[in-house]
Amino acid sequence: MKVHSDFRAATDQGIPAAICTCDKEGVPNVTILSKVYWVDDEHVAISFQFFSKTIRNVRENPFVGLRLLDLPKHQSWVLDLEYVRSETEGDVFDEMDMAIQAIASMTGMEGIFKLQAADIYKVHSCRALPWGDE
Amino acid sequence: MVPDVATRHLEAPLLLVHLGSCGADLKPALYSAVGHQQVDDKHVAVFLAEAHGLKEHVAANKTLSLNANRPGVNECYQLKGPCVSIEPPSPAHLERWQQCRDNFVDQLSQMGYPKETLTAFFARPEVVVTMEVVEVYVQTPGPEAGKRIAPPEAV
Repeated sequence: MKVHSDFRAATDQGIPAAICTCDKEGVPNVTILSKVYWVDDEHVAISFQFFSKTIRNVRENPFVGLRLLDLPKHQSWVLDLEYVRSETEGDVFDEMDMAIQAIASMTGMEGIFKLQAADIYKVHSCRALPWGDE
Repeated sequence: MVPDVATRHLEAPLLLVHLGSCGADLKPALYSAVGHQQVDDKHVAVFLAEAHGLKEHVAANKTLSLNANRPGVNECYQLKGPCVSIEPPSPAHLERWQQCRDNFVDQLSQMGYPKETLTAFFARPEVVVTMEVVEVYVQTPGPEAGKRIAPPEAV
């Protein structure tokens, strides 16, 4: 699955994304991400900052649903992802770390946001839903 | 029961709400709400303009998760519980939807977002999903994040 090039542009708009995971019993968990990171044509990355319910769910069930608003295009991006691995060094980790510190500084959250790893996800589907047709 | 702090949060004029579900294959789905309404102290209704696959998910796993986030202030709560109904919107629901849309457009346009874009996001709801609230969690970033406030965690 190739990630749509317009999705990459949408990740740079500064709009938070929503992510949904499920535990093994089928109980969903929804949370907000400050940013989704484009890695390559088939992968995106999400920050692992706290050992949250999202992280616990992903470690036992790798499937993830993600939504990101694309305000200029009046549409939502809907992605189906699967967790692949965690990276604790390298270009993706460094870019994510810098971005998180910048967001923390802008929102008064210094010392609360701390990157543990860059979690890499394979993109199984990536589609845009125009708002009027949703 | 929805605690007072969550009730006040749900009454905020600017709230971005997402609903999560889980299929029989344990793959999740996520929906953006175009409005919401606290029905009583145990139930919340969520208005969706698109609900593809939701009925199948609920047939497999009844539990839904609702995330209510106040953009700009990072205040966030998550409500979990079984789906009670999925139905077309009534005239009263549509009246509430317009109220949610007007509040959202008014608040975010003051932050510089175009009114046309904000109005387009709040498309007319196709279905109203009502869930019973069994658990409420804090999701505001910080030391309380992840804490269950209803029912309270055992000390």
